Amino acid sequence: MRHIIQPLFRHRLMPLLVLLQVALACAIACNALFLLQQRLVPILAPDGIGQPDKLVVAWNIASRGKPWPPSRLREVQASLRAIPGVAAVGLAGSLPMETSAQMNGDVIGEGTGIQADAAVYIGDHLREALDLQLVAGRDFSATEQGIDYRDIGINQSGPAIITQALADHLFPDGHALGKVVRIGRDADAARRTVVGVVEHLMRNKLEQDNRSNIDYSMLFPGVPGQWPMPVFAVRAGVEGDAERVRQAVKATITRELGVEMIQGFEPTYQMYADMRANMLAKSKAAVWLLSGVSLVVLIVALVGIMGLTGYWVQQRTRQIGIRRALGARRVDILRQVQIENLLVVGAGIVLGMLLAYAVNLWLMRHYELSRLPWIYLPFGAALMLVLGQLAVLAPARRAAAVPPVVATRSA
Amino acid sequence: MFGYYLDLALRSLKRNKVLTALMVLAIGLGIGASMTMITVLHVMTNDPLPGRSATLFTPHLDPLPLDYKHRSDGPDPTDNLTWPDAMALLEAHLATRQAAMAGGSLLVRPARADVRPFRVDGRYATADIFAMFGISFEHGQGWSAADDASRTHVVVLGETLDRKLFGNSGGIGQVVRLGEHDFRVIGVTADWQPQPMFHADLSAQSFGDADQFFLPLTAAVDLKLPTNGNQSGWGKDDAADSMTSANMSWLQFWVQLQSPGQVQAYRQFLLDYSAQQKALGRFQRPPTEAKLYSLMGWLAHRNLVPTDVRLQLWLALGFLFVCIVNIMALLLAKFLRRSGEISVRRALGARRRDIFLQLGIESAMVGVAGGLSGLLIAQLGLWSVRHRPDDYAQLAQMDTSMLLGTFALAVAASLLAGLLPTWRACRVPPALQLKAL
Repeated sequence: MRHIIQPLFRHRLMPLLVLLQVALACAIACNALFLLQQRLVPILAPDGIGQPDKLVVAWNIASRGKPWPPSRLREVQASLRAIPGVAAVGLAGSLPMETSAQMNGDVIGEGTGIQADAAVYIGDHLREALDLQLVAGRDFSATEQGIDYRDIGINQSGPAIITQALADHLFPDGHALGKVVRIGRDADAARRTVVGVVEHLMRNKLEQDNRSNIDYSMLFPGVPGQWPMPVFAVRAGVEGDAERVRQAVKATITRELGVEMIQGFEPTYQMYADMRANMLAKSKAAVWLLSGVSLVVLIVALVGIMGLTGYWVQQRTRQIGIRRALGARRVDILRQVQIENLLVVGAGIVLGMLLAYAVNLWLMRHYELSRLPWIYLPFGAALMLVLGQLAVLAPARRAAAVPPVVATRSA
Repeated sequence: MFGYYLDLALRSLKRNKVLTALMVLAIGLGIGASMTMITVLHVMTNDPLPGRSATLFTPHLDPLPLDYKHRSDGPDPTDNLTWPDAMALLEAHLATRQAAMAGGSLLVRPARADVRPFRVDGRYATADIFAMFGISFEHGQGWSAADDASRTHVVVLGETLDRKLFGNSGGIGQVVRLGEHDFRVIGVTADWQPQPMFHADLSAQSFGDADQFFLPLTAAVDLKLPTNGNQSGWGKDDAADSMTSANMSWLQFWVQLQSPGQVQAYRQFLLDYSAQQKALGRFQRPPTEAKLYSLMGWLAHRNLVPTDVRLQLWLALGFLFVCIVNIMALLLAKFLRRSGEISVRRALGARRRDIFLQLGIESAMVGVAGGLSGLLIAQLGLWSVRHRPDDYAQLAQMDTSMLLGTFALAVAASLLAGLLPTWRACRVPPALQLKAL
């Protein structure tokens, strides 16, 4: 080992530059990949909506003057239901991937006292229209669905369906059915009894860091009153032509509510799949950007290490020749250069990890990011080691190819 | 000598084309990414009214009850003023000019049958707004304080809307139907489009199109026209008329103050006013909550730059740093390979500083080429930013200062990167190297 380590200290500049490059690349790539992973969360997380290309959503429907009463909206819902090829129609205050109107709040599991920030979707026939997968309990009954709230409904007690993720969080013992969730911390807060659990339902408030609570949602039955922006979710049947249904939904809503809408404020009739694509466009752009930057940083580091090691080997051609003449095999030279690289890159990684952590701490203080999970560090280290070995391969082979006769040339 | 060094540098760079290309590309990518984000930040933190912004201030009061709980994700109610407070500041008339305003979106019903009704954004304001912000008129003029008092139904149109409604003849003296009411056109302004829209409710919109109409705030309140900013209410409300309620903030207020003395006096006035309101029992919080922001101070306080953009800027700068270190490494390898050549020059009488100049020029050439490619990459980056679904996206354009900045940054980066390798190469002992040749 001494013959590998000592030259590193004699010519400090070369190894130092390699070390610095590795450390910087490591710090930046770790943090960029961490940001990338956060932006991937809403893209990869299941939103729970079954067959998104069969779901037509009509939103941005605003009434002139007072909000439409629930009874009026139910009439529209009935005429939408009458469109041929329609399997179910949901009427709601808000939906996933629609952020113009949101209901969010702190909810508390009664008995456990555990708290969570969850999205609330209030509406009629939502489970059916969104095609959510029930994993436990039941759907709302007809009586429950028939509630017309006088206010928005979020402060009313009643039944609720919650997501598996929220159920597991609020009631870690695994028995969420029949338990009560309090909506808010006030003493007179509404109490909702869990009657069903669905597999997934994404919330519609997307933030920088949603990793744990992206699937925390609750579903209340009934139609919100005093709600200025109703949303209709129309599911086309298996044989139904979704595009034709979309046109029919547009025609029906225009006919029913057109004259009562705010003028110059066009409602949107979209397939849910398109809505989702629009909503996630920003995250997708960020994912491309961050993955591009990480990749280029790593490539730049690779090229830098290659260039430096190439020169480092060339400069020592004569010494290598002497070692060969004294009996070292090609494989010994190859190993020597590789181990040398391993040591330098290893030192760079140690420094890089500290740097990555420091950068993350700084970002946490200024940008409300969460802590870099420790799993990134060994992963990043392994990546850099492999990268370093790749970079050193060509120079190492060149070094191994130095013939012993070089040693005999005059110096 | 300079020409000779340039020639030497070119020859040296040509000798290893791949390495040169890699260095140029690396610096180009670093510069391109950084300049894209610096340009975005530059347009977002722009002075919206150069030359005038230093004299503009916005007063803020805190009429919130002590037990008011502010949701961290909602807009701050004290960003805007209530109607009674705005009217009190207006009547005090302590600034050179002062105006209260609020944004509104109204349906225009053109008289021509072939144009369908459409929605335009504009502003309800008091008379001083035109003179205070320096909004220039194409035709006609604004309204007077007397019109404010009598709630006259007059309107000043933006040039674009005027042309759309009345063609080339102009609409002065004509009547426009906005929402459900008729307004007489008394003036047409040149399109006035400050970016960011400092005078609007920034929680509603910070970058966007020019205001297409201005009409007296008093008339808007009289007719209960809809506003498109944030309206925050608190406490018990007399629901009959929320616009003039003392418990709802929705108005933006700007004053023009010419001298530091005037600014000081106005600040004192705000404190006195708050103290007086507190004595009357209307305000509950200490009078020191009253603040007077300068225009740029206000923009900084509202912090219009999204977290994403800031993070991306840091990422880009970090990336540039990686590129600089990389080029440093490559240049070091390149220069030290030429130790023999350098030693011959030194032996023939070249001084250290000659070598330094020669290699420095070579580094700078990499920088200039990198700057060029960086410029291309930055344009590409800005093009992609313009396709983002954000309201600032359309503004992402390079101006001359950013263009020059790109080159300056590129050359500075490459010189910085070349510094260590050049210095190291100058210190090569000639005798030893010559012996080895």
